Amino acid sequence: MKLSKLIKFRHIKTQKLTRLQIVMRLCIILGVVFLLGAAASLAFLQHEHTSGIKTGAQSFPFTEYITVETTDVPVYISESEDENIHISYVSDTEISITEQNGRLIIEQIPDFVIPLFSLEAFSRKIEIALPKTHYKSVNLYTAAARITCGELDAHAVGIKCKSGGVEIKKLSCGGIFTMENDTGSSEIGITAFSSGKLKNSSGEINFSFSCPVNAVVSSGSRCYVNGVAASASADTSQENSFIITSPSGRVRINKPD
Amino acid sequence: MSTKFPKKLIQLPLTLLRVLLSLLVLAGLVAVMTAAVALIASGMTALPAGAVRLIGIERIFVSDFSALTMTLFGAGCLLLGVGLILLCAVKLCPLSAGFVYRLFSRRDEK
Repeated sequence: MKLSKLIKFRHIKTQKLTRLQIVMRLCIILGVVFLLGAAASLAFLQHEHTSGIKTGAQSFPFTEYITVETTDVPVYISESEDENIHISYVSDTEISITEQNGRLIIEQIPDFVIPLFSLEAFSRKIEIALPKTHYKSVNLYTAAARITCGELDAHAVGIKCKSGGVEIKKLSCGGIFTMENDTGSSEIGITAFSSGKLKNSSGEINFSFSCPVNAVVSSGSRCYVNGVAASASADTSQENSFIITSPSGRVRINKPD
Repeated sequence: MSTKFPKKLIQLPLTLLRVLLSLLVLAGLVAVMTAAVALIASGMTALPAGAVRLIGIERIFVSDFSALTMTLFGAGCLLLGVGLILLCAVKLCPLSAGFVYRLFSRRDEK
């Protein structure tokens, strides 16, 4: 004879569960079990796991040519405390730092990476400490990140931005200043200027000159000099000429009168 | 007329209390459902990512969690989220609707 027939639980009212209730209870129970499993795995197996975040720090002797190329990791350029160039980085993709024939190239190698549940990914950055001296050439290229720089003194400065931007507080450029901007926004303060060229597609760029500059604006460009819309001109023979082409972007120049 | 007005005035705090209670019940329901949706979203992100990493494609996802932890976490979040949504639909919503209905029904006045 079956056990259930021997013992009759007449005093207990059993509730008949619907399919939906069964599914609901299964989901909650399994969910809790899986989360407990995840917690156990985090507690006991985590030490074997290494996060994919790349970190590093390197120092180089002074070089006159510097190129910084970033895709989406923000770059901070500051003043070095000694005569060497110091670079430190936290990035989810590889950072290549090469020095060849007196040229230092710091480049973020673009890669398809998705950061998920990573605390270190929030502190992604490339920090570059440069000695406070004169450089022959400085090139700053950014795709979607922001490059922030304090003071910079270079003969030739080249800046290329896609959707990212550049922020330089004090730039001294005795040679040629060239800038190409796509959709990013930049702010540059210039203390010394000789000549330059700007091509801005649809971004917004603010220049504040504390030295003489002659804005040469091509026709159809939107450029405001000291808040007043600048008229098109083609005279590039003057000193300190800054040729501006900005078909749909906006360029603002503040300069001493 | 003269006796009805003070009676209604006396009932005002009680009505306000009922409204507050029903708002509290609604807020609780919304909180549980939001948590459930957040869990489902988290699970829908973590589970495929963990599965892809378990297969062996580790390079794409950068995470502090290992592949196994991420898969278990994703599955747990997804199941718990679905469970909570069902719990809301099957139990909590009818219960709270009944509670609010009883709160405002005039049975006690009769």
